[in-house]
Amino acid sequence: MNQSVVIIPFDENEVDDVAPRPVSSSNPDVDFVDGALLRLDAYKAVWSRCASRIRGILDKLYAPVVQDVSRFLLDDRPRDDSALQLEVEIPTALLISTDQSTISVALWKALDPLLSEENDSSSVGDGELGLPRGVVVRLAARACSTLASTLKIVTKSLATQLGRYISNSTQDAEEVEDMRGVAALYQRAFGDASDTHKPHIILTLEEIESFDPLILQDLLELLAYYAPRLPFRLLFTLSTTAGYLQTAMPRAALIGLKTECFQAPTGEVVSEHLIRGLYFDPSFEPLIALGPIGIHALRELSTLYATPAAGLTSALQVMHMYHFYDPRAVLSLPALGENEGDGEVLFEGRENWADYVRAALSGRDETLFALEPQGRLKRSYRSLYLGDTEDLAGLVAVARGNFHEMTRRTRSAVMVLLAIREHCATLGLRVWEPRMRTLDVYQAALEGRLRDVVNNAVTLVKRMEFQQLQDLLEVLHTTCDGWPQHVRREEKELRQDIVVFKNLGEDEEALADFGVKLEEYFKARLVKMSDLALYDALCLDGVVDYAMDLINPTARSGITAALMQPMTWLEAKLELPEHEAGTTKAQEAELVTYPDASILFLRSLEAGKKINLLDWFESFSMAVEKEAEHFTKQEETPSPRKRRRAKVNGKQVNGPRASGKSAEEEAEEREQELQVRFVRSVQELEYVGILKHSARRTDFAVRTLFETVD
Amino acid sequence: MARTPQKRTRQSQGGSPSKRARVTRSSAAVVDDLKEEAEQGEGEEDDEAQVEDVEEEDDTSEEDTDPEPDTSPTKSSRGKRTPRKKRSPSPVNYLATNASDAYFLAHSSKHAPKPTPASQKSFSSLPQLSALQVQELLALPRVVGKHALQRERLRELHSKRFSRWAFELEQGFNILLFGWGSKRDVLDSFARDVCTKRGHVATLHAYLPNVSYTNIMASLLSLPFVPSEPAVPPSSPAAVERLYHALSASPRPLYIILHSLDTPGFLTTPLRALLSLLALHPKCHLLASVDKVNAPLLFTQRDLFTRKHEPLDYPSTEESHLPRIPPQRGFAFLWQEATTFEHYTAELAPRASLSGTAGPGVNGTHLDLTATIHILNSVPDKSKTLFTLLGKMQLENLAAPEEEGTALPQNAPKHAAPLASLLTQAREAFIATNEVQFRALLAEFRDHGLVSGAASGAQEVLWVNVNKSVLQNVLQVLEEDG
Repeated sequence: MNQSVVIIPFDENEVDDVAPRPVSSSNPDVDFVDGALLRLDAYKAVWSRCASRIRGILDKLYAPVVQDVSRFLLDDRPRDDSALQLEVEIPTALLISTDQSTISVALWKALDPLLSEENDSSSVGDGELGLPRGVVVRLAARACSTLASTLKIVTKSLATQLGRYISNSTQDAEEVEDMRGVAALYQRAFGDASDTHKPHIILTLEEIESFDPLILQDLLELLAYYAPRLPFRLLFTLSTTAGYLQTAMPRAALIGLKTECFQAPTGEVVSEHLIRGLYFDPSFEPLIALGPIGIHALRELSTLYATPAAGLTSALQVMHMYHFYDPRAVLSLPALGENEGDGEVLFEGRENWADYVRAALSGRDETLFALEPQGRLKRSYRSLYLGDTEDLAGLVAVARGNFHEMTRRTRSAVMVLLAIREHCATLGLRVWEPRMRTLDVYQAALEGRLRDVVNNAVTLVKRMEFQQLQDLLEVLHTTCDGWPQHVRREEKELRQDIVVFKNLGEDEEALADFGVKLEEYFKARLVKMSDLALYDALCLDGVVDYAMDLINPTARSGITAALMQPMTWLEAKLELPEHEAGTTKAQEAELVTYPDASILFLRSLEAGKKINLLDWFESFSMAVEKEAEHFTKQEETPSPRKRRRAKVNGKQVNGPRASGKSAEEEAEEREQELQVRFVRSVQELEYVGILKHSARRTDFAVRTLFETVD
Repeated sequence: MARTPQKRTRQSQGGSPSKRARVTRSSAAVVDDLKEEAEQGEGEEDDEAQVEDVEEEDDTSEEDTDPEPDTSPTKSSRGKRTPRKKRSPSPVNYLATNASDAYFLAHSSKHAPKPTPASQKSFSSLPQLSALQVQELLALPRVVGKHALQRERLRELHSKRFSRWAFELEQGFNILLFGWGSKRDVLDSFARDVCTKRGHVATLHAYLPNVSYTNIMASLLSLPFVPSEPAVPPSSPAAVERLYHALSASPRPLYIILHSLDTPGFLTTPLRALLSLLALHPKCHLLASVDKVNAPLLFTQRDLFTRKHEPLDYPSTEESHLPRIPPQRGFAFLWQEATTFEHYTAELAPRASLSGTAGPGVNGTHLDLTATIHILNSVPDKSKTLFTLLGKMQLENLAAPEEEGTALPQNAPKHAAPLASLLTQAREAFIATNEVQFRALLAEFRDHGLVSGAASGAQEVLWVNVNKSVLQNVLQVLEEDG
C-alpha cells in the first residue's frame, strides 16, 4: 500500500456503542464485570478529587511569582525621573523556571483576564473607559527564524489588536506593515489617554534560549528605537539562569533593557509541595495512599529527570489508572461493606474473588490490628478463610477504616516530628542526619525507618532547657491548631499533653516526661505502611514501576534487550538456563532458535567498531548451520508412542528428498537463503539505528551501539 | 620496482625479526646452491627459471614462468629478453635441502597454495540476487515459518492490551509504541478493532516518501465533520484552526494512527506543529509508533509532558467568535512497549527500492514501480522525456529477436541501448543539444541506480534498471501524466 494517508470516517449506522466500558483487569481470573464497572467509578471519583487538589496546590505554589510578573508587566510605571535618562529603557521581566510549561499555563491563566480588564476603576469620568491594560504578542522561536518574519508577526499582531480600539479603521490596521505604522496606530488609538492609563505593549519571548541571539539582538535594537513612542514591556522566560542573556548577547544589545528576575519554584520544591499537599497534609485525606516507592519515584522524576509538574501529574494519574486495573482496588470504595447486603452482592458465588480478598486482608503484622476495638481483625488467614462472605465485607470495611486511620495518624506524627526537628535545628542542636529533606522523612516514615530520627528527637527534647521546651511546646501547639477538627479530635491526647506541659513550672521534675510521652506517641503512629491490611488495595506502590515505565521509558534498552534475549518474548515460559549451563556450547545451541536479527546483533557485539560484512555473514551462517536439524527435531513426534506409530506406518526421517532437488541445488539454495536473510536482518538493524552503513565502504558496517550490557 | 633480493625475501616472508633473519639466511643459501647448479648446466631451461624465480621472487605473479615447454618463437632467440608467459605456481618438490627450507618454501607467498587474500574477500563478491529471487527466497516456508507461532502469540498478547490502550486514550493520554519489530500490524489491528467503532480514523504512513504536510492536511480536511465551505488551502494556518474547532464540535473523536513517527525527515516544523496541536485536543487521540533506538531524542520534556487542553467553550458557532486555541503544544505520550519481532518489510520497502543499493549483497536489485515513479517525480520534464526514449528503446530491444554478432560491452545486458543512438534521438527531440547536457540529464537516474551503463572502447550502452513489466507500467504512467 503506497497511500500515505488513509481516512476511515466513522459509520454511524454500523456501531452504536454508548455503554460505559469497564476498565481492564490485571487479574481476570478473580475479576467480575460489576467489579470492573465499580472500579471505573471509583477511579473517576478518586482521580478527579486528586486532580483538583493538584491544580489547587500548583496554583497556590505559582501564584506569588505569577502575581509579581503580572504586576511588573501591567502596573509598573516608569519613574518620574526617567526624563533624565538619555535613552528609554524597556522594563523586562526574566522569568526563570525549569518547568516552562506549568509556569506558562499558570501565567497566562492569570494574565489573560487581567489584560482584557478595562481601565475603568481609576479612569471613570476621564473619557478613558474601555482602555485595555495591555496588548500582548507572544513569540515562539520556531516562528521567528528570521528578523523579517519576527517583525511581521509583531506588526501584524499589534496592528490587529490596536485596530479594535479605533472605529472604522480595519483597513488601516491591515495596511500596517512596519513598526512606524504600529506607532501611528497606537497614537491614534490611545494618544488622548493619560500616560498612566495607556496600555502597555507586552512582548513575550518564551524559552528565550531557543531564539537566535542575532535575531534577538536586532529585535531589541529596533524595539529600543521605538520605545519612546510605544510603551513596551518584555517578558523573557528562561529555563537556565539570567546569565544566559549576558553570555548570548553583547552588552550593547542589553543596555536598553531594565531587567528584573523572577524565580519560579524548582522541580524539587514542586514535587515536595505536591506530595505534602496530597499525602501528608492532615486537611486532605486521599482515598488511595502513596507509599514510599511512589514517593521515591516522583522525587527521582523531578530531581533526576527534571520532569515538569505536568509530568508528575501524569505520573500520578497513570499510577491511579494502573492501580484500578487491580480487582482489589474496588475495596477502596468508601461505602463498600458498610451496608448489610454488601457481602452477598460482592462475594456470593465468587469464591476466587473472596479468597483473593481474604489474602489481601491477612498476612500482615497482626499486632497492628490492635486499633480495631472489637479485635475482629486479630485473626489468621485460616480463620478468615473459614469465615462467611457476609463477614468478609464487614472486615473489609473495618480494615479500610483502620488503614485510613493509621495513615492519618502517621501524617500527624510526621508533621510533629518535622516541627521538632526544625525547631531543634533553629536552636542549633545536633539533629540526626540534618541533610534529610522533608521527602526523605516522609519516605522513611512510611518504610518504618524513622527509629533513629525519633530517638534523636526525643533525646533532644528530654535534654532541652525550660525555655527551649516552652518554645517548642508553643510551636507544637500552633501546629496542632492548624489541623482540621476531626484530626484535632483524634490527637486530643497529644494536645492535652502539650497544654499540660506548657503550664508546668520551671522547677518541676515532670518536665522531662514530655520526651517520654513523645516517644510513646511516635511509637504508636510511625508504623510500616506495608504491614497494614489492604495495603495492596489502598496504596499505589504496587504499580509505581509500571507507571514509571510508561512515563519515563527506556526505549533504547528495550530494543537491545529484545535482541539479546529474544526468547523472553518469544518463549515466555522458557526457563532461563542455569549458570553452569551458560557454556559456549549451550549458547550456540540456543542461538539457533533465535531470530536472525538477534543472532546478528549478538555476533556484532563481539566485533569492533567496523564489522566486515563477509565475516559477519559467515559467522551468521555458522550460527544457523544446524537450524534445519534443530527444527526437524522439534517437529518430530515427542512421545515414544507416536514414534512407534510412525515406524509402523513406514515413515522415514532421512528418506529421499521430497523436493526433487539434488543435494548441490539444495545447498546452493540454502546459501542464497542465508544471504537473503542476512541482508534483511542487516537492513533491519540499520533501520532501527543500531548500525550505520556507509556508501563508500560497502563491505563494512559501523556499529553505533556500544554500551550494551549482558 | 627495483628491490634488493634481501628486501624482497623479507617482504615475502614476514613474521618476527628473528624468524625473518633465519628465513633470509636459508633463502640466501638456497640461492647460492641454485647458482652453482645453474653454472653447471646453462642450457637447462628449467633450472635457469628456478634461479630466476628465487632471485626475482615477488608478490606479483607477473614474472612467473610456465613449466610447460615454451614453443613461442621469441623464446628461441637468445639474448633477447621477452616477457615470459604466466606459469602456475610450481610445487616445492624440486628443492628441499632440509626440513626448515622446505617449510619456508612451502609457506612462502609464491609456492603456497594461495587462498584469496583477506583484503580481496568481500561481501559484495558474493553472487548477486535479483529482486524476484529475494522475494522467492524470503517466501520459502521455512523462512516465513521461523518463529511464526511465537510472533502470532505476541500479536495476541498485544491485542489483549487494546482495551487498556483505549482506556488510556480516553483518559487524556496519547500512546507511543516502541520495541523491536514492525508495529504496523498491531496499530492497524487496533485501528480496525477499536478505533473505527468509536470514531473517525486517520492512518498516516510516515515511512512512505510521499507523505507531506499538505497531503496530510488535505486528507484531514476531507473528514466529514470539517466544513468544506468556505474553502481554505490545506497549507494555511486557517486550515489548522478550522480543523481544531470542527473537531471540538464533532460528536465523535478522531483517532490518528501514525506509523513510524521517527522516520527521518517526517517530523518537519509544520508537521510537528500540527501534530503537537492535534495531539492535545481533547477529542483527538494519537497512537503512534517509533522504531529507532534514538527515538526519545525527538521529544523535549515539554513535548512529552504537556497535558491535553481543557475543552473550549463555544458561545457561538460564528467564525469571528470562536475561542482562542490554547497555546500549549505537546504530545502527552504514554510509552507502551510493543515488541513484535515482525520484520520491517513495509517500512524498508521504500528505502530499499529508493537507494537501489538497498543493502549489502543485493546490489543491482531491480527497482519497483513506486521507487521509479518517485525518482521520476523529482526530475525535470526533459529528464523524464529522455527516460521515456531510453525505456522505449529498451522495450524494443527486448521484443526484437536476438542478433548475433552485436558486440556489447562486458556486463551489459542484451537489451541495453547504445548511447550514441539515444543521443541522436535526444537531439532530434530537442532534449539535449550536446553530450554534456545529455549526461547531466542522466545523472540523477544514475545516482539512484535507475539507469546503468557500461562502456567498451568507444561504444557505450545504457539500460534502465527495472523489470520489463515495471518499465511498461512506468512508461504508461508517464504517458498518462503527459
